[in-house]
Amino acid sequence: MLDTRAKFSTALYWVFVWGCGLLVLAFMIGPILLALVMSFNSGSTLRFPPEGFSLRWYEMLFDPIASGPIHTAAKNSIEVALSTVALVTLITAPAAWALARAPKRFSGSVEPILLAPLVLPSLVYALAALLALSLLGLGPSFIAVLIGHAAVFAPLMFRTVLGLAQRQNPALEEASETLGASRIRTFLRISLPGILPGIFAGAFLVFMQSLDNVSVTLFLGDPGRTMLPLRLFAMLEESLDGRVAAVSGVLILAAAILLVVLQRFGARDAR
Amino acid sequence: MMSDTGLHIRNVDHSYGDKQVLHDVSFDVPDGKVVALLGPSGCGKSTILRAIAGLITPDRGTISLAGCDLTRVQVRNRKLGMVFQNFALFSHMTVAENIAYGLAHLPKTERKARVERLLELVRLMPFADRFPPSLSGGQQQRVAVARALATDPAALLMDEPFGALDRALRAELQAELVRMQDDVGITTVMVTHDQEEAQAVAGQLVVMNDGRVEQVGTPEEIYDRPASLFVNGFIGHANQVAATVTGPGGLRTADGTEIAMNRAVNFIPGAPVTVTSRPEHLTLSTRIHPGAMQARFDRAVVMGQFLTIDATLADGTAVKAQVLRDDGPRPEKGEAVWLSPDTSRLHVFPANTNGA
Repeated sequence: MLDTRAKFSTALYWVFVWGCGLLVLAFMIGPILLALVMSFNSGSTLRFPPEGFSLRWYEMLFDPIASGPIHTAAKNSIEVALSTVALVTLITAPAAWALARAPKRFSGSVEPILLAPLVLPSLVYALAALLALSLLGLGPSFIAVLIGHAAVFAPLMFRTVLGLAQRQNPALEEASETLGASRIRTFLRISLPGILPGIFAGAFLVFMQSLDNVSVTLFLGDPGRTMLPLRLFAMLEESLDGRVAAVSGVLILAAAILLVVLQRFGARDAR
Repeated sequence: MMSDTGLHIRNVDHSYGDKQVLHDVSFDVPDGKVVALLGPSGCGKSTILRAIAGLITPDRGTISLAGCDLTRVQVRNRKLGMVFQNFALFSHMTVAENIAYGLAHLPKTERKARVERLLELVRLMPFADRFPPSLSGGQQQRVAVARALATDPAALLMDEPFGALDRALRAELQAELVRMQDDVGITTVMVTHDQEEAQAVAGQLVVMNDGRVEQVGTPEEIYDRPASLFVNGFIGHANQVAATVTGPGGLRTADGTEIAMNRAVNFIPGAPVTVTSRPEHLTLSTRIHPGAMQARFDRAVVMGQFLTIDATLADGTAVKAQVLRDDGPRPEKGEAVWLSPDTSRLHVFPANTNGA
């Protein structure tokens, strides 16, 4: 009796684990594979199943004459994403490092405030920021997008750096000081290497989020400067352009390469 | 007032928030000697070490080394070597880089030569290019010592340097440290909660309790002439029996045993006291003796050539005695026995108020 019940619960456990696991995989990986497959379609529109294999969409995407606006949009988006990463790093890395050293009572009350943008819908924030800008008599601009992205995505890096900074043994910095090192040398040689993996992981997250963010970019961006996600939306609205799938393919490849590089870096540092 | 050599700690007070953790701490470390700060956890021994290192600034008092007042000197200018609890090695640097960390000001060739000398001193030559996490606990400890000695510090501070190691390794590394100390002859302050460790490494002990220095002395002085009931109980075992002073050199224990001391005690007759004895200073008998305390025999444990005996006095006080195994009676459990103290080695303290 007990035996069958045990067997039943084990079976249930595996059904649950495998079932849910496969569902998650299907929902996460499925669309990505679908986009990849469609990007190699030889047909004249976005379609599944593909009519045949070809690189025509990639060729068209990389052709500067046919896809000039996409290139400009991509360049603009990458510019914003890189600037956001730089700005976020400059602000959050020192903030997280300092907060890890602050008295518990202080850091405990400040941390939720700094993480708040994570739970705030970026659409709400973007709208509020736009209203604030117009109150100040300013319009949408590159700087506005940059600051908007930094405000919304900074908590991503703050989290990854804070985790490492809090786990770092404070005796390491004390040891450095007793060995005659200055504050700056201690930070550069001891504290920074400890939080560097967190900075890289955070930079990756911020870069990706900034690159494909729509709402903040849409509200705060200079209408004259197209950005990649907005451009893709426009292309889909005009026609089922296969280049959208090709852009996805490029982005997926770039993300995969970055992830592998990061993993390698993390593994080397964890030694 | 202050001599020009060695390390001197004078009247140091310190508080964390409104909790005072150091009360008027003073002691000296003679030049080239090893002193161990010994006490239970939370007694302030690590705090005073951190104050010497400059990692905290004490509220009051002075710390001076070789005639220089260190109190206002920044950590990095104090030229002290410190071995941290759990060693605090830089895990992203090799052993050699760890040792070279404090030598950034030296030219490259000189630095390299110095690192090699230290690797030899701690016998870690083959491990120069390894990373600390791949080393054993004992090897890590030696890297920490080498790193602290690399800058040729005026004194070495060690916070529980053997605490992270297992027992068998500890004895070996303690011997190693003593050997190295003989070679280098550096003024050393070590913090430990382990009395055996303190006695094995240090020539002078500073026993601390509750933020205060209870006694300073050699291990022998502290064992034989404890300054307080706390020290008596903390260093080695002390049997404690409540008693009343009956006259000069006379005591009556709680169960009515009259003890005649061979010296006068500094208490007025009638004063409540605690009289203490070491287990090895009690003799066991199965017959009544004048001046012996009656007890119930509980058990005996064989410890090499000794028997360690547990017994209970009439008022429930547990007493330990250590006697030679070969001679003497072997009572049964529950049997009545008499324990006679060596009255020349009894210690008398004011009645126990702050327990040990």
